[in-house]
Amino acid sequence: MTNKQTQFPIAVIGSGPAGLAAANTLLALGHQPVIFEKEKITGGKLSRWHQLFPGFISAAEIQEQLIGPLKKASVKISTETEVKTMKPDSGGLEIETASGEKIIAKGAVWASGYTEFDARRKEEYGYGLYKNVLTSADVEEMLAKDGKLPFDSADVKRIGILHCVGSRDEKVGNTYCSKVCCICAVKQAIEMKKLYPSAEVFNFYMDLRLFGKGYEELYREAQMDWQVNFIRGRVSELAEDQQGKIRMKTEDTLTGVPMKMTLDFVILMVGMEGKRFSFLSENKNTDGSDFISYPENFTGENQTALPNVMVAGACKGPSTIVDAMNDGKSAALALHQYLISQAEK
Amino acid sequence: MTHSFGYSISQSRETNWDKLDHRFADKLLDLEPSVRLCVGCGSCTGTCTAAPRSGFDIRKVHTRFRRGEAGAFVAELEKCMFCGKCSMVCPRGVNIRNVMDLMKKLIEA
Ligand SMILES: Cc1cc2nc3c(=O)[nH]c(=O)nc-3n(C[C@H](O)[C@H](O)[C@H](O)COP(=O)(O)OP(=O)(O)OC[C@H]3O[C@@H](n4cnc5c(N)ncnc54)[C@H](O)[C@@H]3O)c2cc1C
Ligand code: SF4
Ligand code: SF4
Ligand code: SF4
Repeated sequence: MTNKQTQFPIAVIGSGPAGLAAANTLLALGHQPVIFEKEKITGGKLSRWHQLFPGFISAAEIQEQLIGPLKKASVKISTETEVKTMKPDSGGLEIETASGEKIIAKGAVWASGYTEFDARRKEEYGYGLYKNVLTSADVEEMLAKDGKLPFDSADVKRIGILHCVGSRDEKVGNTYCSKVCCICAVKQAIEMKKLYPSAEVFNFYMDLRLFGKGYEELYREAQMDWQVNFIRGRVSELAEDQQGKIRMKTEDTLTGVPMKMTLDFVILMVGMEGKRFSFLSENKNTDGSDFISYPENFTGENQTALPNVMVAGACKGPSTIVDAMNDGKSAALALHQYLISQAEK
Repeated sequence: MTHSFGYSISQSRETNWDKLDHRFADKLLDLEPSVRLCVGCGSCTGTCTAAPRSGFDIRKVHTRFRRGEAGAFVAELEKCMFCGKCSMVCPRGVNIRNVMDLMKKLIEA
């Protein structure tokens, strides 16, 4: 490697599971990464979630495992630092932050993650208007914070969990599947039965997409050991009655009959949305989503328009934490290989 | 026939969970919990000996029974010949033949 290159660090943008895994891998490969995080706190969604599917491991524990080694190695994490843009520079890469600061790095791993679908856009579900309608993200945050939800067990007889909110829905412009919400819904259904043992829990789904290891088993466990009811039908509307209870309407498509039911509270399984960064990729995704597009060619899946910037995690499309971490490691390795190939030239 | 109410109730055009009587369904789920594992695949109906001749749809019948519409299917239940093919094909190991048997017994009791 030339001296010029070694004097600059490698930047990691985003401190979610993908970025943290990338930073750990870079460290193991002998680099000194620096992390930029736009929020006040590190960890991305890990800092907000409670217990993770499929094994109910605490999110805080995983975050600690990822951050611990970085702290030990004095890896700098600049919080409240949003990266705005990046462009090629003689030193490798010029990174510009939202506050106008410019940093030179020899390369970067971009792991900016996703945002949750804003459930207010699905007006027929009344999120933000009906006090007994929550999102899956609200539930995670409440459980992580207090270990409970703001409903008294004595009042809760029926809980509804709605799949595919903001996903697989042309009406909101998101035709893709968010991939993790089915298993997250199964996990939260079990958590609801643990919190409210005498309540009935109903999951309303279009298809159950339980692709991962242990996911189908968790579904069986939810049915058999926790008596969760799975009703195949997309909920068409929710309405609030005078007591604040929620009236639900759908079709029970397995019997072919319209169904209605009063629920004490409802959880909306919100999907994921991406954000495009033109300096990383000009290409559009075939599904019309705003996730960062990448070469879907099996071997170059971390590449961007900038040769020394690799992309990883849920900013490329819906992913689990394990997916995001593995992709972060893969991006770190791809960057390492690129830098070595340049140094050999 | 011990009960007449089943015959008099026509199959409803709507499932109104709040109004239905879930006692039979709860009993069925207690006695044969494997039925909770049903994924609605339709394999049981596909193989059913009675289905082609009588239009009997075991999947729909036991699903609606579980929704709380026990009484609506008494006449349907008569169509089953208890051959047990349905139980043999179920990918989730639901003992449907026993579900059939229990549904009949619960209603007739
Ligand atoms: C309700 C819910 C529950 C879930 N539960 C689980 C679960 O139990 N198990 C599981 O495996 N998965 C779960 N997931 C999925 C999980 O959240 C994602 O897989 C994971 O967060 C993806 O990690 P990431 O690092 O790619 O992105 P993120 O976690 O989104 O992290 C990205 C980070 O980048 C930062 N950032 C963004 N842009 C910039 C910028 N320009 N400059 C600097 N920083 C920036 C963000 O602030 C954020 O900290 C769940 C998802 C939802 C919606
Ligand atoms: S994972 Fe399930 S809930 Fe989420 S979008 Fe896909 S089908 Fe819908
Ligand atoms: S036992 Fe009854 S329901 Fe099952 S296959 Fe035979 S006839 Fe059909
Ligand atoms: S074969 Fe089993 S899983 Fe499939 S519909 Fe029948 S009972 Fe349900």
